[in-house]
Amino acid sequence: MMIEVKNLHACLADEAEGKNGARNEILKGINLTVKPGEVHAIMGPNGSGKSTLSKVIAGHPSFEVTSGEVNYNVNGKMVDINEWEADERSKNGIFLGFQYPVEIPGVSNFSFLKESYNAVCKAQGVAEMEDQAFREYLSPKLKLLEMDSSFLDRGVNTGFSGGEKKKNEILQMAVLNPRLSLLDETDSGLDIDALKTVAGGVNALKSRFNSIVLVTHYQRLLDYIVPDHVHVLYKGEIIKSGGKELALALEEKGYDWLIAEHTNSKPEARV
Amino acid sequence: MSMTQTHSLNSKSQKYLETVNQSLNSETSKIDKNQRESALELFKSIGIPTKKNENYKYTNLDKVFPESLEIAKASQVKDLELLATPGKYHLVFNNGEYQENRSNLPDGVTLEEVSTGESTVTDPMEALNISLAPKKYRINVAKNTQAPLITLIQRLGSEASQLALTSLEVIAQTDSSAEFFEIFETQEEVENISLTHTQFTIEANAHVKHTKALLTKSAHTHVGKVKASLERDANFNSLTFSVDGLLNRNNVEVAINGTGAHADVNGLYTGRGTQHQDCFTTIHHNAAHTTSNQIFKGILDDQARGVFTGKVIIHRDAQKVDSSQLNKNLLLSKKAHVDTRPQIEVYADDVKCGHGATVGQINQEEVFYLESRGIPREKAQKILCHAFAYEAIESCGNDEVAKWLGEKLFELFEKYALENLGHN
Repeated sequence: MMIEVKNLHACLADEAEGKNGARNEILKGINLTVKPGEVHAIMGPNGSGKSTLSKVIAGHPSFEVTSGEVNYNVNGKMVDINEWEADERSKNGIFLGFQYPVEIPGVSNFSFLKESYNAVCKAQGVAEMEDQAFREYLSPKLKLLEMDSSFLDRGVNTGFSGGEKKKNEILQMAVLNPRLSLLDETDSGLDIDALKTVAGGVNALKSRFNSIVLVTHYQRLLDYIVPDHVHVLYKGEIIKSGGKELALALEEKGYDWLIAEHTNSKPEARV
Repeated sequence: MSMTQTHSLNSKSQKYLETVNQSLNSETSKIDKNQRESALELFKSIGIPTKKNENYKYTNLDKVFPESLEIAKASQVKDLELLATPGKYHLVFNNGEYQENRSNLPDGVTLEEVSTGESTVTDPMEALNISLAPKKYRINVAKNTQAPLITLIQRLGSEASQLALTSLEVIAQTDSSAEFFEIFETQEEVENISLTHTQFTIEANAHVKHTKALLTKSAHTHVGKVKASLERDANFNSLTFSVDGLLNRNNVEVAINGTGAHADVNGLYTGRGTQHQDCFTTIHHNAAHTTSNQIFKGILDDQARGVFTGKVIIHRDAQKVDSSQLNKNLLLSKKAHVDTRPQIEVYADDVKCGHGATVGQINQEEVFYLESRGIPREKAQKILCHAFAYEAIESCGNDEVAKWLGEKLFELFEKYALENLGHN
């Protein structure tokens, strides 16, 4: 098992100590198990909690887990990582591809990638790399994503187009070689050529040892990265899981039929 | 008139005035007595500025200047090994006195000691500098010379409460270009003071870059002025790098006198503990079709205090002027404080003049982005502060100097982080 999410509840950290229990739960009991070599897709309408789920797993400090567990495979043992800082999760092979990658003018993409790579290497007891060696290490990865080496000398994501930013996310994934990749709306805002490149990159990085969780709003991405499992998230709960055919059904019929099915199955909602 | 105003000086300023008057009559300074006397008039009318002086509203110099005025001698500077600095050419000064044996100059650039020079003063502390400086030097960049980077190492060393004075004038002749990297460094951790003056006359179509870096110890008080006058099509690029010390007041005053001339006036200030950083710029657009840009960035932690005042005066008939000013501040603690005030005076009617100021905290999404890539939070914050500062540093227009300053800043952040750990 790679990761096992058990009855996970989460809310905004600011609201965790909310007065009179006024906090607003975003995740309301998520259960999800991902095995090595699997690709899972998490779909759902806007505001269903998809992005929150990926951020919580990556350790975003804006969210607080109020109950439940996130168990992650560390050296063959399942460990509850709820108390881990984001950098520790990253060093242990969890990667979050951002929906909106952050622009950091003043930090070159190269030094950012190197800093990140070496931080992870150091934690894993692997030798760190010097500039020249690291450039050579990057070269095939840039090629994979059809990125020019001039990207390395620009500020992190600064002035990048939407497609370039997403390619840069997958470049980071390629550099860090994570065991669990959570890709948050990696497809949004991409034209078809960029989507193919990004999906090609992800597919090339996929192996039987790592797992990929795609968070997406559209079925389109799943034509290029084929999932083993599809989950539909609605109001903080997974209301349906299935194979890749579920994504096709959603594409055809939308979410409404599933939501209706779900609402009808809840007796208290009928009132 | 001056008599009646003298009476309003406080006792400390009175004492200072007596000391200066004594020195005018002795021969401690090589600088023309008339010039020194006329500069002193302004000090007579104002004295050491207090908060009542609008230009010093947030920086009370009267509080930090010692009771009596004692000038540090060149011989008080220890002949330690020179700082490793960029460039092949260095001019070394000990408390303002030129050290020929440690200096070298490129072709087309000369240095001489002078007894007179530009002497209009606009600030009482500048007046004090001119009336007291024991020595003044003029660097001349000959017509058509394209000079490489010259590093000016201003070594300051004195006992507590003593004042070190430096005075330099640079003349960049027509069509010349020159780059100066002026470093002020103190040797020991004592509560001493420096009062400095660096003046540029930039002739037609000449280009001058000047980076002033204050590498002073944390008990040091610095009050300095950088001044430039620009003729037709001249270009001036100024960076003030003010990152340490107890209290720094950096005055930059630029007079753009010729059509087509342009000035970039930039700065970086950082403060921690109870450090106080005050940058005060004045830009006079005296001619039509002149342009100026300013970017000042500040990073303030603990109870540090920052002040930025950007005065831009567009004089009558200076039409088609384009001037912009930006002051951005990063506050790292709840008790850090910054006062920022643009002061724009426009007397012409066809000009473009913009200004802006921001005060904010480190963006937590940016911190998380770095954290999610394996970089620990503390380091992520340091990287982001450095990146914020780098935009200002880069504006010095010399890659070597920028890299050097960037490294100094990083060392300072590291040192500070270590000290902070020590407190826990």
